[in-house]
Amino acid sequence: MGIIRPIARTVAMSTADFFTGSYRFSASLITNNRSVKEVLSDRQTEYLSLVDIYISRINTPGDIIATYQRGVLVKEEINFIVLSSEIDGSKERAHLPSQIFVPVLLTLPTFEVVGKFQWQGGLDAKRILATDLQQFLPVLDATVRNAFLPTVHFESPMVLVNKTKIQIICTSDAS
Amino acid sequence: MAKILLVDDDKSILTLLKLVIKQAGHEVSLATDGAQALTQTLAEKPDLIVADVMMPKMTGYEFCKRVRANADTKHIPVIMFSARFQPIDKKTALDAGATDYLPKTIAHSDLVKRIEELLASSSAASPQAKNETIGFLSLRGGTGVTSLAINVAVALSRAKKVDTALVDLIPLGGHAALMLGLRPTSHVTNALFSNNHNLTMDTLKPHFMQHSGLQLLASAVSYEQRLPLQNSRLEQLIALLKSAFHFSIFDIPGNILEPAFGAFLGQLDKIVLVFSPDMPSLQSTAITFQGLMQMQVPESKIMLVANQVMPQGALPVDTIQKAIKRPIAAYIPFEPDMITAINGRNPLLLSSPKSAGAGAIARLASML
Repeated sequence: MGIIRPIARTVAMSTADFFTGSYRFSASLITNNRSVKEVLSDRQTEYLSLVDIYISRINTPGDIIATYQRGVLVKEEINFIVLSSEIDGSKERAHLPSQIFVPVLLTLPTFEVVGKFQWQGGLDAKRILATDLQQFLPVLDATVRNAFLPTVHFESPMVLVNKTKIQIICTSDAS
Repeated sequence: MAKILLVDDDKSILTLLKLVIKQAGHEVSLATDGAQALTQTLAEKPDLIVADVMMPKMTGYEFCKRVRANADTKHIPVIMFSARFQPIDKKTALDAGATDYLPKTIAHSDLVKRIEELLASSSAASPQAKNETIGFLSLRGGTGVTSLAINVAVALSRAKKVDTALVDLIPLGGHAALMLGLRPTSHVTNALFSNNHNLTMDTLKPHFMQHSGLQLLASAVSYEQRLPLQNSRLEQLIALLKSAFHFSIFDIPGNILEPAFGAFLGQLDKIVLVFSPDMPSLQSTAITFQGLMQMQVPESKIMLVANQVMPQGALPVDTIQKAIKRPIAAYIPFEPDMITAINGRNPLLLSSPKSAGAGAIARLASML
């Protein structure tokens, strides 16, 4: 199983954890030298091609119940994706003077995500949901907790959240 | 040198890790799946295993459980090493019997450091671990043999958390106590000769001084108290310390290279022959090696260690090995903080633990 390389933008595959409502899939996403975020935003396909898939049930996410060499994951069914490094997601965290980090809580079916949005100018959550072209939103320094099993949680420098699964976005003043 | 088994289905990772771990001075074998790794573990009995979690046929968790289930392999430290890096993954790995769990994104230097730490603690805890007596010897002065012996003793004592004795056998004015910032309250001469009867640990104990987990028998500091090197007492001393300490480190004077002391040297489990990487020191080392051979000291007991004490002008390792016709076990690079440590009477391992020199000495200690 391939290591998540810090310069994943230039590799053909990137390893990540894909979470649906009931399962965790640890797998390598075939990216063909694009970033994970670019692959997810590709509107030409509704599916992700995965290889080396290790499947866990969400109530026991450490236990691997099955492994398969290849699979196709339906993008729409993904709640969120956990990356080991935000560089895998798309770009390095920019440090423009006008950029702010907004504390945020999102809820998804059976999950809650706490972290930060990186934003330029005033944050308009409605605009993000309604008009932003990307289907997956990056949440930085994120902790994701299962609503029914709060001890089950996941941490990452960057989590990509499926916008269509979001129930609520709560924000605080920028840090 | 330890035997390390690397298990990963990604051959590029195996190749990279093999290089990194071999550079740290260890022997490496490879397996590409859990089943193969299990066979190799039973056959090779590695000192430590680094295993991926996500592997076909058998996951790293299952492999680890099977290693733990076998009486012959259950003591082997297993580092699980995975792209699955969540807290729950670490817990699952530890529940499966892993000794530690590291993400694959970890820096290679940190992985090697963790390997060294686990090797050190496992050799101390292993049921097969036996007490070792190790002599540090250099025919000529100026090679840093005493500072090396002290720092290795500190490394063994701290990293392996075991009883370690350091004995300064320099007959007069040895520097071990000075370099440890201790003022000798007694010395080896008293320890060996104040009692006319047989030596026992009870007769030795009052003469030890303590420093950072070490028990030091210091060298005499006045001419009247100089140590008369006498073979039978030295042999008794080695036997006693070997029975009482996991590691006994002896700073041995160069003039002990005489036939009368063959039995004493032969009694040591290892002799670390220290030299500086320059021509005069190489010549002395070759002569010392020849002398040890003539004294019937098995070659397998002798470790050659190059200690670069000057910042420039060191001979390359290849040249050294060609000149002495043997491989060197370790090369300690020039460490500018060493002289500060000596003058500050605080061993380098304690005063600059993150320095390159301290790291090299810690690696040498892990090989003992």
